[in-house]
Amino acid sequence: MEKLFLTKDYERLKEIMDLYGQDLLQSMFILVIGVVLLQWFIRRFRMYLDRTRGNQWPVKRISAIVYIILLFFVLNLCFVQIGFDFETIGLFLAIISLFVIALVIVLRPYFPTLPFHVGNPVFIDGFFGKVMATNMYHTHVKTFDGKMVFIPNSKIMKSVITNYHGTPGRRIKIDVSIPYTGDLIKAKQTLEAVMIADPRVLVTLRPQVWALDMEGGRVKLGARCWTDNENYWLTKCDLIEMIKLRFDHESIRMALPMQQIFLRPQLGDDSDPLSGEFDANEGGCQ
Amino acid sequence: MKIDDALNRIDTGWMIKPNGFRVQFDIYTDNQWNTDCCPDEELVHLKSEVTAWRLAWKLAQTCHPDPDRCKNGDLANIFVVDNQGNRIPSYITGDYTVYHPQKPLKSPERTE
Repeated sequence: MEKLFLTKDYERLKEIMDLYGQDLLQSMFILVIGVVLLQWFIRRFRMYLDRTRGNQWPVKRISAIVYIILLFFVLNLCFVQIGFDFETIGLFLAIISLFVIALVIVLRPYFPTLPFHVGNPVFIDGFFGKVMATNMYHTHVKTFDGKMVFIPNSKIMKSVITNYHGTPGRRIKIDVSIPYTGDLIKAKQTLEAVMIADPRVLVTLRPQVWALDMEGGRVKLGARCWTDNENYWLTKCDLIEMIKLRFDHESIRMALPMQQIFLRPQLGDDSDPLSGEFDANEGGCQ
Repeated sequence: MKIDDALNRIDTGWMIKPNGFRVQFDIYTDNQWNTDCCPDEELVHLKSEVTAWRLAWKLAQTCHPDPDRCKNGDLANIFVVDNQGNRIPSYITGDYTVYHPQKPLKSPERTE
């Protein structure tokens, strides 16, 4: 009995294949070739746009739109091959596409998304690098010391993420300490002059120098200035080098960390060790 | 005077912010010294003074010209200029440093 049913199913399948098999095969062939060619074309197209208009146009978005339009044509071609009417299928696909787009727009805020894009420099879970790719499970980060790290997205969702791409500029913070006896005004002027003279330091939000602290035998000066995000690291390193050397030329001494220690008199001395009355100048050192 | 005017006056009168730097040098070719610079005039300036002086020093290390017997490719009078072509004092020494000085140089056009 069972065998009879199987035979019937097979005969039905054979009948369908006889009728539509050839067209279905050709249609699938067109689909596979079309998608492969489409991927190749889009990769080339994106590379070309990146090279020529990378800074001005939203290349990623343009590529996605072109991809969807061409995919629409490939699918249409497949259906026409099977025997459907071009206009009917075109209309049907257009309706489905628009419906999906509307659905995505409405539901997008509710989808959990990663707070960065490919190419962004990020600091995630102790790893500092550039995002190379993301997929459903992992984010590939190439660290600045050349390692490829695969971070599970579930872990990223729970971590604090710093995305350095989000802002156009960054503030450089350099703290310098000079001794009490040092020339505070000269040091401030020198710091400001070094920052202003650097072409990468921005003019708006001008460089500033503040006297931050006065403890431990030194005056702490805080130099602050802004630079473009991509120049941040090199500008900071250069400023530190130039400030150090300029201080040397101007004979401005940097303060060394200092601690004042007072030694209590030994037991057995005439003074009472618990009274706290001893001569700091006699037993102290600096 | 408004604050903006005062700031503009300070910008133009106190510390001049150059737009970039080049390394200028004389190169001995065809039995004569020719002036050249790196990066070339038509290319973008170096934005870092530190990088420019480092480049100048490294160029100076590539040859040790003998003043009596110059040969093709020798470099002399290597120093850093700003985008206007003015010599700038070295941040390392604080004065107008020249690597491999070979002949009288023009006096510095601008001083701080």
